[in-house]
Amino acid sequence: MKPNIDSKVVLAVVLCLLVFVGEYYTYYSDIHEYDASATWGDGTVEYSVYSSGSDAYSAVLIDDLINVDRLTILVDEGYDRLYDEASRMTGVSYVDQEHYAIQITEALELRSFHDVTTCGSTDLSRYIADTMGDPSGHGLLVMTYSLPVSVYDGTSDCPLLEWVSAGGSLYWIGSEICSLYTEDGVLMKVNNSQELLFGIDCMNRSDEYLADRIIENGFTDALCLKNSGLNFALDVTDIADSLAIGYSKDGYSTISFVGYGTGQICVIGGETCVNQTDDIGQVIASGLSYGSTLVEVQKGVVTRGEYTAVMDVPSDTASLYVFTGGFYTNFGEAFHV
Amino acid sequence: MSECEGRIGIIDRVNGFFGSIKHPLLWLIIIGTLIHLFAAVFQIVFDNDYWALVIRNIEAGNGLYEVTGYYYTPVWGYVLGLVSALQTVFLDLGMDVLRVVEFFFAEDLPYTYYSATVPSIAFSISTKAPLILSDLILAYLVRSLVVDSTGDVKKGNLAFILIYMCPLLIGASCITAMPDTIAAMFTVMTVVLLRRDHHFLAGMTFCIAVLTKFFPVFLFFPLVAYVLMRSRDNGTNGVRNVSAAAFGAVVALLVVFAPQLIEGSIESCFQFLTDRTGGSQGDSILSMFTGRMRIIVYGAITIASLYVGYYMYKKCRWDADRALMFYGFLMMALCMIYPPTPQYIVILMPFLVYWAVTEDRRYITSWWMISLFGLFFALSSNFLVLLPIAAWTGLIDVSVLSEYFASFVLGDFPVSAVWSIVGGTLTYIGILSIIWIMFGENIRRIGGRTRD
Repeated sequence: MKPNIDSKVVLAVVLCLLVFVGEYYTYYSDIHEYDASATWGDGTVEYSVYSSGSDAYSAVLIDDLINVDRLTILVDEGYDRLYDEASRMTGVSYVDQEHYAIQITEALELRSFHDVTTCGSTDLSRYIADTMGDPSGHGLLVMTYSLPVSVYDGTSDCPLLEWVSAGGSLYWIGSEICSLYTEDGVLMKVNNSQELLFGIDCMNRSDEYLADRIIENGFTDALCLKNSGLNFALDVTDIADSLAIGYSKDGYSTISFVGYGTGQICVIGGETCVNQTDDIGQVIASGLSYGSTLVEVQKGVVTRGEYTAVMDVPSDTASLYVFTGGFYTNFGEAFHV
Repeated sequence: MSECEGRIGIIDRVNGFFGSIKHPLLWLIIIGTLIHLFAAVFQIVFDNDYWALVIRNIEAGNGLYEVTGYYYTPVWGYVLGLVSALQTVFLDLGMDVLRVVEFFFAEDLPYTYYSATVPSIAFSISTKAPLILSDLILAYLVRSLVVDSTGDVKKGNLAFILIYMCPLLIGASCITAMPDTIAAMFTVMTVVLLRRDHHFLAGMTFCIAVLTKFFPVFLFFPLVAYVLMRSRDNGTNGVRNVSAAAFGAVVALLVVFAPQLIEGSIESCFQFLTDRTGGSQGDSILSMFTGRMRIIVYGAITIASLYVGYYMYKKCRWDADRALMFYGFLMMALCMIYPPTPQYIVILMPFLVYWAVTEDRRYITSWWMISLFGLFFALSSNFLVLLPIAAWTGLIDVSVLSEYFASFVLGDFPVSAVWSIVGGTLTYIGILSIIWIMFGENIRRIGGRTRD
């Protein structure tokens, strides 16, 4: 006897199962795998990149890096209390710091940059003091609008600027850099913060917050940079020891590096968004600095397997950054000589 | 065999294949699918960019909510998870998206949501494939409901055409790339299963429908009333049937939310609720106002749904099937009283088509208005839908397209605003025409009595 199977019921079961299978692939499957490796030889580097799917890959050889391998993200406990006043003073937009710190941490994690911690403003002075002996390799990312007076008071001999000068890397997003500090719960304005840091006033104060062109030095294409925001961005054209990458308008660039002593300051313009998070991931994981030069970029597609190639290396200060996924990077790793 | 003879042989085989298709439904499927695939080449570049981001997050092991990118309840995210797995195993996509500098300004336009991050045509067709399949299944299910009710295959085929060839559905699935069709498909599947007394499975499909897009939740009380009415008709135990459906819904709910329950991040699944009711940080007064209005309107619709359920069970003298399709139609039409974005209307279309084909042909006018003006409304970004073709094929110059787009959207009162207002108004008149056809006579009668 022919079994009485209702095709609509079978269809319903299949459709429900497809949703649940999708859930499995979203959370529990290891179907998406990526890897990269590099072997440094005599004047060459041989790299391999692997994907279990079909992905764009980029291998970016960069010379002259400041190799940051530990990042501390400042999460200011007093942010909400003074935000309204700071917004009136500097036009800063609200940032959910805890949330954004997680976004940045994850963006770095997928690029094989694992040493990321957060630190409150009360612990910041201890962090600066603890690492002051040798801050090279340390990065500090600030997304709040003011710093505690214990580390910054608008003078060049404050602990923070001495720390940067000694080799630390300061990454700044979301507000006018170093324009405010907090003393006894009160916001204090520093009127000449950019002259203090860069020698000139170079921050974007116009109403133009969107870039309209790509900066043609190769880094934007090489690193698949995306962020187009220019709020609080810098024009570093007239600053020695600087590098502008990303996109620009009227000289202001979405990402700017400036050398400070033996360390550096990096300002990333725009408001918090996925594009900015991804750019932060690319910039920090690749180890880019104000003195970096692009040596060579190799791009292609790797499909369900491994691709191996060799590059010539011009110096012993070069690094190779390999990533897959292009503009939506799903894996990255940096390799140093 | 010469090359010419070989070609003639292939043409003969193709002709033979199409000639062998006798069933009219197969022709409708082939033609409808070709139209869908053609439409899928175009994109309103915003949501599809987000789907690329969501897929990246899944590929990177971040699931749906760990990092920014996905704001809806999980079902559509799981479909994207499946798409991502299929892309990984079978497709050679390479680069998924491009950033187009010439269109950066589009990301900053007020009252619009556009992106300059442009997914590849191949990538976007692969993410739209489940939506096209859903459109097809939805059309098939509505056809089967019509055939079950009328016994008329021609009416069923007409219903199939009105769903699968509906310009609004094609636009929502293939150009906007929003998953409203999946919610509609699971909703209609729920009705089909309840008609067949598969209550547990119907509970599951209803839950999945609600967790794809929220509108089907307003069918909750009419569906409960329907199960109780049917139990009364055929002598089965109504409470037991409702309990079976509820159990199915709970099982689906637990399975769907399992990852978030385990992670303790269930609140992130409902972020869109606070986003769209003006509850999130930094929203404007306008969005706060529209958000509060939305809460009031949907609160009133919930009360209406409760009353409709009560009315169906206690007072309605129609047979259960007819009552469910009419009051379901009414509830979905009421949901559109708060002016919807075009893709929201997709959930209304199965009920509209069913009622137009089986009961009252006047609704065909509503179908025409909503389908055509809804698509017109959806295309208020106009030249932007060509951006993927420009960016990925070079057939159109990106700079030229950017200039056309700028002339369309920039200015104190741009053409795009006029386009939106005209499209939105005409679509809304189409929605109101449904209410008028339903209650026009009653309204006139009440008006006449008042004058007397």
